[in-house]
Amino acid sequence: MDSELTLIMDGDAGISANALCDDQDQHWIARIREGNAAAFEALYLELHPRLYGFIYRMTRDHGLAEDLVNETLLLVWEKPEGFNGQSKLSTWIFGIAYRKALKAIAKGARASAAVPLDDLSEVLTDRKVSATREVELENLLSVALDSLSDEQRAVIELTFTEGLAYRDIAVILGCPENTVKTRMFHARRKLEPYLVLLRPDRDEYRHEEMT
Amino acid sequence: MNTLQPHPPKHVHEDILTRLPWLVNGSLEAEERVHLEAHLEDCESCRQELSVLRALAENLGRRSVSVPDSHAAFDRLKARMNPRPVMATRNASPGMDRTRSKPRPRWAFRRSQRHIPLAMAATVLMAVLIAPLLTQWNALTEPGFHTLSDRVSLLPGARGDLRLVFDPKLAPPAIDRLLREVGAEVIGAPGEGGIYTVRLSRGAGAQADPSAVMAYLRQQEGVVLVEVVTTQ
Repeated sequence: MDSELTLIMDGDAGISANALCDDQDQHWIARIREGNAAAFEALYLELHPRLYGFIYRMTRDHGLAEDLVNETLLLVWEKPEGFNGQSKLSTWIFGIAYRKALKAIAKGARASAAVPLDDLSEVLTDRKVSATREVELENLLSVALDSLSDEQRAVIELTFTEGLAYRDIAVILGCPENTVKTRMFHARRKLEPYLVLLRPDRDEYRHEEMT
Repeated sequence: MNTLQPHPPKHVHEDILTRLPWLVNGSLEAEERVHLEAHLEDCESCRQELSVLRALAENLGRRSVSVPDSHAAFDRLKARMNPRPVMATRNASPGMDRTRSKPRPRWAFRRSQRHIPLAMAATVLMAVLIAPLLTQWNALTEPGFHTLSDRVSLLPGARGDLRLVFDPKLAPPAIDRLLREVGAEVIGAPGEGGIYTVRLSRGAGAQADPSAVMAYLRQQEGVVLVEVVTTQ
């Protein structure tokens, strides 16, 4: 079976009690297995915007995001037997998309950060003064996210943008739940120089840091 | 902060700290959420962290991605979709109705088109009358032997040829799409009676059970008649 279809199962990976597929998922996958193109199109239209947003945020490439969304969903059409019902259907599909995005990034697809980000705080230091503006904050957020590893960025996006539970994220990433929490913890630490800007008492905070 | 409350053990505090992002996104189950909220009442540092994470979530949510039109994207994918052999016929499970509540795909058949006009009835009548003649003609023109490599000849009870009549309202592209979906190749162009003779011997449909293909075709809207071309 295609490795991109592999679903991490409960057991060794330490994943437990992730949300199982519901009646709608079972209905959809049954129809797709029958070769029902209309059911597949309905699923496509529902998931396309979310998958596109997720892959784009991982790769920062619109053309690539479009290609990978279609490759992901084409795989669902061609090999629906890869879904084993141990997760939500969308979770399984996001897992396929995630692995495809990682492969593309490994081939150099993601636009690299403009500045080498060994230390995010050095990048942000000179920009703190103007960081009250929302546009500037958004630009800084983009820079900050570039300082993360692909796996850490995926955890951030799946948590805060997609609103997924850590159990579902563990299935998508193919890792134990604790690994998801650990990646989030390290991502949050890397983002600290940016998060300081978001603190309501940030001026006071900086003063304490300096003294 | 209630200063009279003892601080929780460090490992409990750190465990809760690692789960705060999912309190922010609202995905925790009720029991876990209640546990975290109880801790937050007495932990100032966790409340500060929660506030920072909420601000992060808010800023992440402000970003916008220009997503291309989903219908147009699907149209591009359609060109790459190979029809798969129909391994099972549609069955009217209760779940089917849920899909119908969603917007119907633009290229799906509509039930409202199922009304059989008078012209279609006439077509059926012609098909019934002409079918025996065509059968005899095929028997005369087909070779009386089949090689072992001729997979069609091994199909039980049929050569794999079908005779089809479609609703005149069904557009040729839709007919072509349906035939490709079941892996059927037109071997007899439709004449005045609108009768197609097709062979299930090429493409993805080659592996399909002819009876399953027939049952599938009979359930498709716009398909008026499906019958096997029998051999003598």
